[in-house]
Amino acid sequence: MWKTIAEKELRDHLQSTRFLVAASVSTILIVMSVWLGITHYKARVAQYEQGVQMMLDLASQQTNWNMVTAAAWRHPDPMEILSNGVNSDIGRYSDIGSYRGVRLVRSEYSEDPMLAAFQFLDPTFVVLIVLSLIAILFTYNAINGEKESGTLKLVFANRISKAEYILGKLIGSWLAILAPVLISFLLGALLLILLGTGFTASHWGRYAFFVLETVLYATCFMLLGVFVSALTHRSSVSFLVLLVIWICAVLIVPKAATMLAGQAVPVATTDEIESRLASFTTQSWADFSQDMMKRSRERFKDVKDMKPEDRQQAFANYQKESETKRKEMDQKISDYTSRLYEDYYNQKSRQELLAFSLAKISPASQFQLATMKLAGTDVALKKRYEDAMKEYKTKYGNYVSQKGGGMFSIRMSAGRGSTSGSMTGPADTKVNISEMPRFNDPEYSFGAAVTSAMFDLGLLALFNVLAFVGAFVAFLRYDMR
Amino acid sequence: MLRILLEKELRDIIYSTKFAITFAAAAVLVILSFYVGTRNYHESVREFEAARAADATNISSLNDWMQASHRVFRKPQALEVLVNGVTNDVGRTTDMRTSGELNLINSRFSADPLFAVFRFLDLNFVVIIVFSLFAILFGYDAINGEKEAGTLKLVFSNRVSRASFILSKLLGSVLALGVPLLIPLLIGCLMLLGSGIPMSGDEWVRLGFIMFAGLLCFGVFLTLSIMISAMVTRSSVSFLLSLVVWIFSVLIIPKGSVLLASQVATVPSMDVIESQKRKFSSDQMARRMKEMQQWFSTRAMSNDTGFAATFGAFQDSVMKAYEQERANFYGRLNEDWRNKKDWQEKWAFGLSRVAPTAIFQIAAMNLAATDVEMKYRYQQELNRYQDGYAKFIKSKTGSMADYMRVVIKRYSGTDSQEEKKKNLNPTEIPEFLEQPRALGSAISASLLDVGLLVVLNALFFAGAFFSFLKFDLR
Amino acid sequence: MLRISYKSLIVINEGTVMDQPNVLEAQKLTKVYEDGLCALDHVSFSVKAGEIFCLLGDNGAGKTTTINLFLGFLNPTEGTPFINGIDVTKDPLAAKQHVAYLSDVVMLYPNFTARQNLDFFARIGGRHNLKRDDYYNVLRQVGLQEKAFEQRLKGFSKGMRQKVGLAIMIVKEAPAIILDEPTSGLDPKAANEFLAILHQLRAQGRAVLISTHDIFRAKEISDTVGIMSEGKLLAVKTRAELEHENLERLYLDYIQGKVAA
Repeated sequence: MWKTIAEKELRDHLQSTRFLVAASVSTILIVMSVWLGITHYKARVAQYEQGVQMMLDLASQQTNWNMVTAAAWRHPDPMEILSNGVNSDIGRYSDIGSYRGVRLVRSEYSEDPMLAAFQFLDPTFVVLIVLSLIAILFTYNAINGEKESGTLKLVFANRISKAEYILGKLIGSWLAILAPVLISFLLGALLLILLGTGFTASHWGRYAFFVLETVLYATCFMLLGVFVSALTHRSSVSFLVLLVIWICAVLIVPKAATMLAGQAVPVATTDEIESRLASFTTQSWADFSQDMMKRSRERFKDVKDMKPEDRQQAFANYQKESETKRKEMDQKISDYTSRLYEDYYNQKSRQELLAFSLAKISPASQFQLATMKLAGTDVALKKRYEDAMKEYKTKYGNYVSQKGGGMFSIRMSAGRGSTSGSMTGPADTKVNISEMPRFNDPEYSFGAAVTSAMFDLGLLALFNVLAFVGAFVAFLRYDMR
Repeated sequence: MLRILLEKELRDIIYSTKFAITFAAAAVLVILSFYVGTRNYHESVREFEAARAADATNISSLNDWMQASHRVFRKPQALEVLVNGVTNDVGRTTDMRTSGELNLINSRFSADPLFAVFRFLDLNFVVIIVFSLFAILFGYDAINGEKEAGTLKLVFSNRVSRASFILSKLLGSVLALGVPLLIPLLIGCLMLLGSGIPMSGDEWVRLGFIMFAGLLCFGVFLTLSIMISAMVTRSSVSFLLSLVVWIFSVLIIPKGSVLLASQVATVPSMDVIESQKRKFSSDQMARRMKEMQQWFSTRAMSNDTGFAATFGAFQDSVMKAYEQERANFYGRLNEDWRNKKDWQEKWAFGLSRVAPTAIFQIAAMNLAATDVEMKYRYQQELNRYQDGYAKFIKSKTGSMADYMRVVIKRYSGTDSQEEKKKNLNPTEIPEFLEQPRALGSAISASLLDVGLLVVLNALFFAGAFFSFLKFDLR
Repeated sequence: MLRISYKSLIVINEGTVMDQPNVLEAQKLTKVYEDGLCALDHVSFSVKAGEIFCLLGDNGAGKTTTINLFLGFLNPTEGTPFINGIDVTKDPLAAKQHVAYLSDVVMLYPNFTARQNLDFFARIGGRHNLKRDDYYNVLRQVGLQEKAFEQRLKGFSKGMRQKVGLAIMIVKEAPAIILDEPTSGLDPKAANEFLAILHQLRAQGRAVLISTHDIFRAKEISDTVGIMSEGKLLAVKTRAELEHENLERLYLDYIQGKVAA
């Protein structure tokens, strides 16, 4: 018997005006957001390639490795098309130099505040706002609407149990909502293929999970709609209640949670950390320079008295000594930096944990966080890149010091912002950058993405189960008269 | 007759459950946004003070002004927390230098991506999402709902003119729904007053304008949905239509227009400009190196202070010339790029103005000075400050020179006397006071949009009026 | 699920019944709500196959409550409703198999066509293998215009919807039929058509229970009339008994409490 009910429910939806309107609107919006995402992604890739090329061009013009400013750029990832997350808020590259820390600068939004005014329209956003509204629109009068139109009594004047009825209704409504979702994402996939976005197998796997998450999210609101509909006897009331729930869950709870966490767990700002680091670094280098000056004056005196044949050797020894001392200083600063940042990151993770845990009351946060983790555009993005860039910085630093840093190199950190240079460099031969180590983006595999999103997916599923049980039980106790 | 109808309208709305629920929700959200704003402000101020303290500590640990690296931080402004605009995406920190281009780094969201995930709840958000929805919920069945309930026929079986009926509907809705919204807005203002956030007279005026614009935006949606209700017979259809209008206006059109404009009206990326600047800078550096090598090659290094002074003078003159050259080149590049960007932004925001919520947001951002120009205005303020800072450093160190001076000093062995020098006093540095955007300029920038909102209100009001004159009462 | 066929029902003449003696039976039905309101007070009556029984009373008399009890939407405080000998309280699902229902609010599914509505309710009622033509026949039988068969109910008048409701009732082929205020809002022509169909159903041997406050129709159509007021069944009069009495006078007298039950 539930099959008959399910069939009727599905057909009723499919033949209704609201389904036509809602399905077309949501499909158009999802496809449009995918298209916009693809064009923007391509622009980003072009920007990336341009940036890397310009850096290499500039580098190859230099005559001295100390004058070369390397940079590590973030390669855009096609998954950003689906969920932009915090991607536009994180810097796009970091300058790499042995005398300054890794810092991601010039994020998309800070470079182009115009984009920040209204932010992005990605499929995640469309699903978050529009699909949930549509789900509510379909089911807010699932039960009380049938009561109001008299069909509930009519149906139950037959051999059908409440359980069968509610099961059929839920399944029918679910299928009705599923249809436009699957169609739009199929079209989206088509677009992705046709416009050549370079989706790999790992990406498609994540795309499939994204669709799964969307389905879970929409189902959540569908079940909620039926639940509330089975709690009230007037459809106008259930609609209002659902609207209020929607506003709270989608718009308020996530923002409130982050704000609360921000208040509850104070964390030092980046500026503070950077100032402290700068202070330590300047002091250390100041001491170091003084030390080096003293030594070089002494050496100068010594060298004066040497025979010409011995001078060459002496210079080489002094050079080696300087290098060792500099490496020690680098290490010292690097250790301090690590400790400083470790504390900072620990505090930050505690703050994040609190914020997200609070936010996860709402299925909207669960969905958003899960999709961001799937796309790799969640808050972990920043640290992932910073860590990878720090490794690269070490590698690059080693390479450069191998190539020799010129005879009389001076480093001034946090000074007037000028690069270091040697007074007496080699002749005007340009450096060969062909063997310069390049930055490789940190890997974010399919496995990593899915495991990271798994918990939130699980929460969404749990929410679905709860809403299902709620709707079921509420209807079993529903007064049909 | 109009009075009777008006009274009925007011009563009908205010005594309904729908009004109780939706108004309560809207009021709570408005007040919440003010609350969040004040907390945000205090938090930003705390961060600002902490950063400044750390910077001061940094400076006082040094003993040579030439080594000092001073960071300038942006002080939060009151209205920014109510209309975030692009505040959180623009860098707040600048490494101050005596010469050269200044960069803004460490925007709120880039430093704290956690807050970028869901972003903040500000008054702008509440107006755009909640006010508009609130309006639609009451407007969509204003006319056809009465028809469906049978009361329309009942009313018109009396001596009632169509004009007075539709007028009473429009005025009644506006009064019954718009006036109560003033309550949470005023409560919010009181909260602001009591929160200890310093607000100048002109900031209050700007806030007043923002709230006025918000109510106008609400009015647009109200009159529009009533108009739809007078054009469509069935309330279920007018509801769907209104909802679609809402979805597009609030969510799609603003974002879509900007993205579209950025793709269609393309502007060379800032990276290209940056790269050109770097190339220029590095070329300049190479030339300076050559000049200095030349200078050194014609003179003998000596220990006397006279040498250091001569070198200092040479440095200064060279620096001045190069700085001028750089400023010209960068200035031209920047201006060029800004012009192109302006054109792109005109398209982006022009297109977005199809949506009344975008019109409101643009007006609000202009009034709160958190519009896209904010970044460039701030940079100009910093440039102004840079002159004063450079003068200060010159007075302390005798020159604007950079590290080369230090090298010479160190090399000439005069540093043994440095150890005896005392630590720097950071309070001596001239304070950076950002000039807030002039009231006149803020208001005139928002005038177009506020005017547009007024026009739309009138348009939809008239539309509803004339549609009803032809409405089928049967 | 059992499909019970009534094709073997013998056509009645002169009131002899070959099936269960009482298709619908109310035995001392009582309903008292938690707040003390007594909606039904020991109401007993029965409806035989081939009989039309009218429950006559004003609003709030307990007619709808009686019907709700028969359909299992309510549980009686005391007493038992029976459909074809099945205790509704003990086995509601089985009992519902034997009854067809038509309510006064006939909104049905506005997005469905007349035939689709019919199809759904037929299946729900246990009839799974009817063809399109079968549906069309029933719709014709109730007097719906041909062109409306495949039109969505959204644009139907009340009379048209009523007809679809009737069709739903007929297609179930149940031995008992319960109608709640069926003629309210119908014009005389439509009401007459409706009554003609009721006659047919009676001739087929079904037991029909109608609740109404339309005295005139009640007199016209019923074999038996039960007068209800304030939860009590005040009197049960057969057609024969009514012929010699002025039902209107009787009704009003009862309602006003001038005559004891």
